[in-house]
Order: sequence, then C-alpha cells, then structure tokens
Amino acid sequence: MIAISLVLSCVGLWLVAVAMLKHYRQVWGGTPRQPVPTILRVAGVLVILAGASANVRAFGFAMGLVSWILCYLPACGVAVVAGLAYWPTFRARRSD
Amino acid sequence: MSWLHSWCGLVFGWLLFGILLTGSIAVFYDEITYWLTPEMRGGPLPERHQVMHLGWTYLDAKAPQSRLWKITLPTTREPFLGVSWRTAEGRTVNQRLDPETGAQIKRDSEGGSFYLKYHEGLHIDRDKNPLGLLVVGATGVAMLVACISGIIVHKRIFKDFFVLRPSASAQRSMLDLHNVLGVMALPFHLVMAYTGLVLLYWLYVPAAVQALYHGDAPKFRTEAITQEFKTVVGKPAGPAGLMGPDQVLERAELYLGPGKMAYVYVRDPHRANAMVEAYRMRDDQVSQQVNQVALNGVTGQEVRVLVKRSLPFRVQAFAAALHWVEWGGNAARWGYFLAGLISSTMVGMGLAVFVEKRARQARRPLAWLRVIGAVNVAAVGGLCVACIAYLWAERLISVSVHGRAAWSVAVFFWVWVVTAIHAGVRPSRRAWAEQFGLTAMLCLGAPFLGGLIVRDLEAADGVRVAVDLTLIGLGLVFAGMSAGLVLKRPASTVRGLKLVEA
Repeated sequence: MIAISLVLSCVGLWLVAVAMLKHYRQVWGGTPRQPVPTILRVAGVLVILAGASANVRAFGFAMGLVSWILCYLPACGVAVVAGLAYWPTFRARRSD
Repeated sequence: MSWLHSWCGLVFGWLLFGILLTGSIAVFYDEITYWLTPEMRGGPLPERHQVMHLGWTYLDAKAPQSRLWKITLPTTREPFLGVSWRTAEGRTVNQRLDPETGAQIKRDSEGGSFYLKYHEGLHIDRDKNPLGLLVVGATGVAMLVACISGIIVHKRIFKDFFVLRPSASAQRSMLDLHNVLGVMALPFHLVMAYTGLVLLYWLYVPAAVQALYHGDAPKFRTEAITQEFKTVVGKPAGPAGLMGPDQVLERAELYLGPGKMAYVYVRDPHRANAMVEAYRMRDDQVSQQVNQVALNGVTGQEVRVLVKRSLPFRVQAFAAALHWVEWGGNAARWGYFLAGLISSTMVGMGLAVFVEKRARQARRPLAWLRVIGAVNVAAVGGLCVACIAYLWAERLISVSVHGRAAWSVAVFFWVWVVTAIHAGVRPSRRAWAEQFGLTAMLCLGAPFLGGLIVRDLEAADGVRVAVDLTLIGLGLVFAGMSAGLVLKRPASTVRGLKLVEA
C-alpha cells in the first residue's frame, strides 16, 4: 500500500508539473490549449489525494497523514523534479 | 529580507547542518546501536513471560534492597533486556542483558545514541550544562526564520516549483537545488524546527511561566500540563510481598493491550507499599505520552487510573511524537531519514550558494570569503567524515579499553578538527572533493571491517545487513559527488572564483 501511495503521489505531482507551460513544452512541445492544463491540474490533484488516502489506509489516519505530508510527498516531489530535470526536451527527442 | 535569509542561514547553517544530519542518522539510533554491538543477537525474540522472568530474577538477586527497579522488554528494534535499579546512594545502574541467556552485554559504548545526543544538545551533558540545548534551540528558531524569510525572498516560488537546471552554471544549479529541496520539504523543515522547540518549551520559553505563574513551575505543571489520575485503592499496610513477573505482565497487559507493555517500574519492591507502574509502547500512536497503569505490588490491584489529560499536554505530546517518530515502524523512519537528508542537503547547498554567489560578484580576492568557504567545507564535509569515523572507532577500539565510549566520541571530534584544518589549507573545491571522497571510502569500508558484512549475510541478520547496505549506498552517493567535483568544469573559470581556489 505504501508503494502504491508513493507511485500515485509521483504520478500526481508529475501531472501537476506538466500542466505548467514550461514543463508542458519540455515534455510534449507546443503550447497547451485550454482546458488541457486545467484537466492535468485537476487530475494531478486527484491522483495526489488518492496517494494520500492509500497511505492513510496503510498507516491509519494520523500516522498516514503525517508521514505522507512530512516525508513521502516531499520525497516524491524531489524524485519528480529530478526526473523532469533529466527528461529529454521535446525538440531533442524529435531530432533523435 | 534577503540579507536576513543569507546571513541567518550562513551563521546558523554551520550548526544546523550538523544538527540535521545527526538527527537524520539518529532516526535509526537503535539499529546503529545493534549494528555496533555484535554481542546482541537478532532473530525471533524469546517469549515475553520468559524474558520478564529473567529480568525479575536478575534484579531480585542483584538489588533486592533497591527502592526502584526498571525492566525494559526487548523489541525487534532493541533486542536486549534492559534492567536498571537505584542504589542506596541514589545512583541509577543500567545494564543490558541477553534476553535468552540473561548474560550481561558488557560493552562501554554510546552506540547510535551518540548521534541523538549531538542532535539535541551538541553532545554537551544536559544535566551539567544546558548550553548545548540552548544553542540547538537558538538554531531551531533561526531555522524557522530562514524558512519564512526564504519563502518571502523566493519570488518565483510557484513558477519554479519543479525547476532544476543541472546543466546551468554552478551557482544557478545549486540555487535551484536549494530552492527545490527547501520548497518540496517545507512542511518537514517547519514542523521539525517547531516541534524541536516545543519539546523543550520549559527551557526555551520560561518567560510565560514567570509572567503567568510568577515562576511557580509546579503550579504551572499542575494547571497546564498535568495528567489527572484517580486513586482507586489506598496503599495497603499488610505484610511485605511482591507479585510475580507473570502476574505483573498479565495484569498490566489487561489494561495496556496484549503484547503492548514496553517497560515497567517497580517501586519499593518487597515492601508493603510496593507499586508497579507499567507503560505502553509508543509504536502505534502519534503521541509521546502513552497510556500507563499503576498496580498494587502485593495484590496486583489497580491503584491509579488515568482520568484525562489536559489539552496543552496532549498537544505537546503530539508535537513531541512528530519529532521523535517512534510510531509508524520502519516505513515512517525511512521517510524521516530521507526527509532529514533532504533538509541537510538544502542547508549544505545554501551554504555553498552563499560563497559561490559572492565569489562571482567579487572583483578581487576576498579573504573573509575564503574563510567562509573553508568553514563551509569543515561544517559540511568535515562533519560527514567525522560521523562515519565514529562508526569506525566504535568498530576498531577494543572492548577491553578503559573509557571506550569516551574514546569513540573523542575520535569524532578530533577527526572533525583535522578536517577543519584540511579545509583551511587546501583549495576549496579540492577540499570538498577530498572530504567527500574520504567519506565515501569510510562508508564503503565500514561494512567490511573484520568481515562484518559477510557474517551479517551468513546470519541473514536483516537489520545489520540493512545498515551495511545503507552505508554502501551512501558511500556510492558521496563517491559520485566527489567525482562530480573533480570532473566537472572547474569553478576557477568563473570570474572571481579564483579567490576560493587560492
């Protein structure tokens, strides 16, 4: 359950990140048209919340929420940022 | 505000890095103690009744006249039986026993609690001198100031939420990393700094007690932070006697839950007013103050029950538990460990950015910046070396050496002094690379001292193998950082950074 929570948190944060223009361009190229960024943001938040609830299910309410907010979400955030930092840009991938 | 963030971060960052790093390591202090004590056996624990019996018999034979006994039952984290008693002179004697044989584990060592002592008070004995606690408290306040001022000065906090540019200039990529680690783990930074202060509120904020209670601390404790108990049965005046360990365990776990008694105090054993106080484990609740029960030591009847705890008491217990993380098992501890390393790296990056930024801006070599650069290396790289050197000292110093624990601690501080001298005489970049390289070598070598890892693997000792593998993993990370510093574009090509290299 903790692994599921971590994966969901990473996916959710990644969706929120690619909803931002800078990272959207990096991953897919071009400029997103509405409502794509909004959909990505909402989907991201929902998946993040699913990650939180998975952790709550694993640990119980207090321990699950505290450990998720203090530890797992930041760790997932750092992992997503590191992933995006080394993610090949859309242009670079197309030239390959 | 930028000035406040920079200088507060720099001055307290030197201390803060050490406090955060040792705090992160201290999350696993029990596991480190176990790793450093080959006499302790892992594997399944013996039956609790048997262990309780062992401790009880030991104390009965060793200290029958004592006014206070304590028996701590073994857990998977602390697989030894802890016994202690108070002597006639008022001194407390602590001993660790093998939970199966009852043999005393004679090893003069602070084990993993060394890191805990450094984390909470810079390893200054808190009973003799509160200076360490006060300095750590001031550093905690500075961390809160740096966090809040950091949020204010970080204008693009939302736009750059996920931005890390490793291929940009050294200053840019380090600042990005500092920002990302700071923002992502902001709840952890704030909560740890705040709860660290709440833990010792009576020391850090004495003014409230002075102002509201005119310094009457007992009255303050009674009104604000007390636990209310109800005495059920008066103290008996019958003949002296003591119920047996089996009875104590059964009666206590009736109230605390099966398998949940952590430790027990026996007051006035073998006297008519004998009393047994049993305390519950803290592993399944976010509260540092746990349930307890007091039993009549002769009849086993409940003599004191908890009626209620005041709200401030519960809040403080919750805050303390957030800091101590005795709950949640290994998963929560690993989370805290990683988040602690994120905090430490954030502070280390902040220190490096301070020098890098000013070195770029400088038009001539600045001696003070050179000094700050050297102190940065000593505070970050030197502490990493010293932390692992302590483990080496614990492994290499013979058990028969008198004052062994003090020697290991001395090794930690002397190694730190040597790394500080090294940081002062070597060019900054090389000093960083060499100290990280040395940390890597020490981390990679520690599991192989005396064929330790081979023995751990053969014994399939999960905890010891986990410590071995963590050390190897950390060693590889430090080796990567050292290699990165050696191989990456030298900082001297950047204008003005020559002074750091000089």
